[in-house]
Amino acid sequence: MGHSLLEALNVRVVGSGDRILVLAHGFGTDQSAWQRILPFFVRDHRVVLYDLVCAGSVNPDYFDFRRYTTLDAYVDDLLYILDALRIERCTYVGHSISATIGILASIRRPELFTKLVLIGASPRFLNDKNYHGGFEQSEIEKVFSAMEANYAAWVNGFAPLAVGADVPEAVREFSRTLFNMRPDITLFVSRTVFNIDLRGVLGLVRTTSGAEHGAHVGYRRSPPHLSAPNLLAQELRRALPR
Amino acid sequence: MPTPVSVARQCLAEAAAAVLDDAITVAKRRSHAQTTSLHIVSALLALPSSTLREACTRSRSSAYSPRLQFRALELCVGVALDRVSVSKSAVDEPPVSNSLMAAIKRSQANQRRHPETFHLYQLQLNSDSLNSSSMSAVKVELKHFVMSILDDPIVSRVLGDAGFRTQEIKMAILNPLTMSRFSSTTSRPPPLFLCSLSDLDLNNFPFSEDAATEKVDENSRRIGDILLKSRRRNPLLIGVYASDAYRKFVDCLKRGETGVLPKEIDGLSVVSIEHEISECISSEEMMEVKFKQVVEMLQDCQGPGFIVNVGDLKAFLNVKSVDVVNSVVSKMKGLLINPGGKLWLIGFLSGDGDYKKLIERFPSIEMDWDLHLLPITTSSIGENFMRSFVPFGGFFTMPSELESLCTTATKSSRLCNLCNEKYEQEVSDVLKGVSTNSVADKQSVNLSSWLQIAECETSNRCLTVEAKEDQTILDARVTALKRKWSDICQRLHCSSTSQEDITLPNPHTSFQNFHIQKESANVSPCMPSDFQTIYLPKQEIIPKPVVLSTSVDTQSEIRVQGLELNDFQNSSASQKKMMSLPIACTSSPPVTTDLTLGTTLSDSAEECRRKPNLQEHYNGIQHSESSLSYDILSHQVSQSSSCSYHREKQMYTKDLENSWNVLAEKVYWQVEAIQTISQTVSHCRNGNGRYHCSNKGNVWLSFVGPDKVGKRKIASAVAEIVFGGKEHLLSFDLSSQDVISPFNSIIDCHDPKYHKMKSGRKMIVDYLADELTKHPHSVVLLENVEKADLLVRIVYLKQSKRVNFRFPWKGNQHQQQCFCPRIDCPKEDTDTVKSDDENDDSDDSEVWLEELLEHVDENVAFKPFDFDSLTQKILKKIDARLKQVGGSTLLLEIDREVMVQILAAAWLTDGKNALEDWIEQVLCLSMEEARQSCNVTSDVVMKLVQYDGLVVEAQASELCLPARIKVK
Repeated sequence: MGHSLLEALNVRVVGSGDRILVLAHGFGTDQSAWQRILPFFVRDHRVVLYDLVCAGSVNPDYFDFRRYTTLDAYVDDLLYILDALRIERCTYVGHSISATIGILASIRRPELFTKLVLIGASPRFLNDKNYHGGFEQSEIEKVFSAMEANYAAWVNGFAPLAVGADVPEAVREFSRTLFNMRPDITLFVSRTVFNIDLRGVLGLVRTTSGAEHGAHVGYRRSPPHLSAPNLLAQELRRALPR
Repeated sequence: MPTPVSVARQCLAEAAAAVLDDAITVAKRRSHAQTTSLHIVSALLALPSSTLREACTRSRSSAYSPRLQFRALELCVGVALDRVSVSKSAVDEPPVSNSLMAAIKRSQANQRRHPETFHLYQLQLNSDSLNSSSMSAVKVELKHFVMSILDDPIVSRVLGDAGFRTQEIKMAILNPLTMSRFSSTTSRPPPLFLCSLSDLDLNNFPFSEDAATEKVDENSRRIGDILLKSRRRNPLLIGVYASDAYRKFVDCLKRGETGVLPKEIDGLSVVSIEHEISECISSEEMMEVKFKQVVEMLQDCQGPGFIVNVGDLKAFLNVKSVDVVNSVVSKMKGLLINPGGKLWLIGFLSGDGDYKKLIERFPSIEMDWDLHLLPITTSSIGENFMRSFVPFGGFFTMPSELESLCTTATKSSRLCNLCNEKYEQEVSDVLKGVSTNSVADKQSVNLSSWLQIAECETSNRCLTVEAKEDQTILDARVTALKRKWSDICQRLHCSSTSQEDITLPNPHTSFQNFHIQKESANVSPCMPSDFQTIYLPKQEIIPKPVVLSTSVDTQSEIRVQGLELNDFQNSSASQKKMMSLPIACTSSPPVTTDLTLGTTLSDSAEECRRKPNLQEHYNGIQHSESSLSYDILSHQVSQSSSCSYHREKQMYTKDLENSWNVLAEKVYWQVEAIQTISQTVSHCRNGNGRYHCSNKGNVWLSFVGPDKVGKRKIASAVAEIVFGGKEHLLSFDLSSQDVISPFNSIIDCHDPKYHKMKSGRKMIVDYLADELTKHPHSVVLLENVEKADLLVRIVYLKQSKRVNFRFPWKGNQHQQQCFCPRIDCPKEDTDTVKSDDENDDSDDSEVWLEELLEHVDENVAFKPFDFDSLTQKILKKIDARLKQVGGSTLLLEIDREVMVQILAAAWLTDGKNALEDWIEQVLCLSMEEARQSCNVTSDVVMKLVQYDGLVVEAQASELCLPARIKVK
């Protein structure tokens, strides 16, 4: 039972060390996004890598459209993996959607996480009366219909925007992984992401060291492990519990 | 913004521009809004020898034969193109997409830097130094164009799917020699084809089973999970959407919906103290009364228990006196500790801030109430993005949230009339205080034993609480009644409720009449495309009139003015919707079948000699030619009630047997096939299916052989037997030929069930998925599977192979659905495919078919319909009748078209004695009449011919033959 989920989500444990570091990739990528970060940590950490079920590298048949309607199902997966690997405590680095997953996981199982490092996390993407999430609902609907109409064009437009067009190799990498996702899954997950509202929940995070909000200058919209691995590795080092 | 084609074309050299033009044609043909790199690849592959093809050949994996791998590539490209959405407005030249234009730009830049051509551009640059724009006017050569197309992720993905590596293809383009050596030395794992994922064991995936059976929203499901826990089992929902989720959950329980909670605690009742909590500051007495009630209910509680909903705990924060709250908390605590574990509590807070305050003020509340914090991050109701979600392409589907909401709501709340009546009666009895076991107990005679037990429980509960007059308890009782009746209704009258759900228009309300004209042979292609609107009634086809002409000798025909035919049934409607249908224009050589009836055996000997001719003829009607109406099972008494599959098993099995026997009588010529089918279906129901049924309750059958009519009859009967109604049959003709044989189209168009799908394979899948979402219990009949084009093949193959394919029926709670495609591959048809296509194709198609046939639960062989013996039988009958009418002096000559018509009618009819009746009541009567009107006593030869000039206005019952014959 356990093995199949670990296999399905391509769980890998690399490196050696006492401390356990979980690297969880963001929306539109897969664990390969951490490739350039990995060398910095394998020497003194056991690094757990896995793919979200929505990643292009996972067999799309595993994506159950009924189950993955909220992030809680993703949290289930994460906790399942950690339990299967008999991990009792770990540091968790999550990017974008995985940052949210980490928050929810640590609310459910506070004892499991020594520290959360959240990159580009947001409790809510949609604007509200008194809240600026960054997106208007109507705008997002437009984006979604564009996605439905022309997935390729959306990917080509979105990848440079999300990564920053000045780092072409990263753009290629990002659009490769984004393209790997089956379009309907991409759209479904995007919708799930925009449905999320963590306000009113964030305060429940009890993980002692709290969250380092990855809104480090310049990282707002891009996966820094793609565009600036060295920089991110340094930042992460600083953030990790010593 | 996409680039106009002309701009893009300017950047390309001749060969590359030609490819672009081809790609534009591809995009246009598929009515795509833009031309993309994928279209270019498609165009390149279409050329018999192109740069890409050559490079692929050199770089291909040695694990597969080149033909196979190219086939895979073509399929992958096809699939990818099919995913591109179709634009509504047709564009003459679909503009060039951004990504393709970027590829062109890249290749321009590449070419400029390339050593081979560098000096050329330098020269050009020098000579045109005045005109700087010439720099950008680099004409891209095909090679560079292909190279940059390969960089496009969408292209490399498609190539990757087919087992190619773009990097190697690029190397092959650049340097053929090294490449070929390289590829021969590299051993590579076999490529992963689209279809080779079948053996993944999806069953071991955790949670997937749960997920498949539930239709509840995620939040409610999580709440249910918490209630099951042994400690920390009282959920406190927190978050912006907490109150949404709380309301949704509580409302579901109040409505008595089943399936919201885990099985162990299904049937939990709700006691609301929300109001009292929010008012607890003002009146402590109210609170006291309420608590007493809860205690009493708890003592009498028979079912799984109660859940006390306390609502928004913010109320506690607004209370000035902490003591009041503390006393509520401790009283509640006392109740919650009760030994049976039959009491739960649920509440919510809309923010973590409030939660912190709550804990500060009442530090012990979390422990005392055994609270479980449940962060709610997604709305269960309201403006949900998911609602507008439309899965791509139609192959991947999920039942929309909307649908699942509807079904859970309707399933329990909608009762059939009968049940509703009884339910209302009981409710009124409850309100009057009358003992209530009467009606339900009578009803329970028909119930299965377990249901009866459950019901007794309900009745008992009703009795024990009878003394109490409290409104809440009444509510609870009404809810319980509602639940009981909805259960009963679902189990007993499932078919009737599901029939209400059928959205197909009632055939009778849209009566249309088809005027049959011989000239309009080209109308058929437009017919089926709009199957949504053209639902044909069951009696729309009026057979060609048959005219009986009598003649003293063959030369001189005496035409007797005919008997007036009956008026048009519903003539106004028929005129409005008059449609022309193509009629059989037989191209086969005329066959003379002057069958002289009423003579002795020598004539049947004569007939035997003509057999070859006739045989040829029968083959003709197989596909064919016949202006006959298709009246499938329309007059059959509905057996839905007896077939309802929710019956108790034994009874059910008996019913089943009967139903199958009835079917075997009706389609007497396919008895063995019917046996096989009934065995397979019952096996699969017991979970012994070869492939799929054990997991999902889907049954796959392939019907192999001729006899289209028999297959349809059986499919329709299976729908009736398994799901209780013919309307559960969804039928699709997958033959994707543009030109439909006019013969087949007559049969097909005339029956609403047989949708001819020809406007694109995407549509079939979409439509099928759509229909199945609407009607999850369906028998799906796929005709002409071997003619289905490649995409459809892949999809079906994938689905037949994979255990877990994504059609909406997958997650249905009812395990007994049956998916039963009929694979229709008459031998003749396969032959045609072979001769039409290249050898390649037919080869593939056979391989594909074989593979598909291996993965169905059962292959059912159909025998050809025996027209010979039927002809004999009919002739003998007519002969016998004639002797009674006219002795040996009367000879009847039956025109061959008429004979064909009679044969076809016999083939199609469901009435057992319909044809005999027709001979007796229609044919003989008319002949008698004709004879009298001619007033001849000597030997008479009568001729039965088809008369094209008239529309037949009345039809014999259960038979597609005219109810009257004109005498001329």
